[in-house]
Amino acid sequence: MNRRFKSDSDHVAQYLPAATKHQSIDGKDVWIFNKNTELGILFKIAIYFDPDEEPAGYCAQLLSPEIEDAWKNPHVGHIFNDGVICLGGGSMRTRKTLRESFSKSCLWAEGIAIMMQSNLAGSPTEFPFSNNNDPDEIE
Amino acid sequence: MPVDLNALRNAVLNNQNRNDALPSNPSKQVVVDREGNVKIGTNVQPGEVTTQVPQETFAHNLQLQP
Repeated sequence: MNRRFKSDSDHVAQYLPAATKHQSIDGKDVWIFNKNTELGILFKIAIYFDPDEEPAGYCAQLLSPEIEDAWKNPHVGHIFNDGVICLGGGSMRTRKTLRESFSKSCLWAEGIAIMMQSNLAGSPTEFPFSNNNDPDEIE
Repeated sequence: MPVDLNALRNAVLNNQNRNDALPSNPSKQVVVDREGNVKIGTNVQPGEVTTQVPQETFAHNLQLQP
């Protein structure tokens, strides 16, 4: 068992949902959890350490639900085309710790859930938790 | 207790505008509990296990096109 896996396992056991699942995908240890939002929209998110990112760190990737293609923009839905959630900070695609990636992705899910619900209601709104959205691209 | 989404938005945007990603004042902190529920720091119960949310702007380094 490598040192990172042991450390990540300990953090998952202590700080992530009890039902978090582990999978080994392409040599990466991937931690998958469900996040229910205040608006009742359920998200499935995967967190993994990616040594190939610049800088290397923990990515949070949206697995479900599907979101609008037009929102897959770091200044609209704050998510990249490949499903990696924009986590801010200096690196945007990664955070230094698994816990940071987990907590920031949960806040992101609350924000994108508000966009989804307002879009369904016919009154699209921008992402509510970031001060540099592109206001012309919310629809 | 459900989080007040308007209060949450105000707290996050105020912290971003002050460039205070990890405030020490619990009233300004945003945390998640083990199940991923988002809370304002003052609503954390004694002994509750939480992780603080870094509150930098989500797309910190990218510049909007004019």
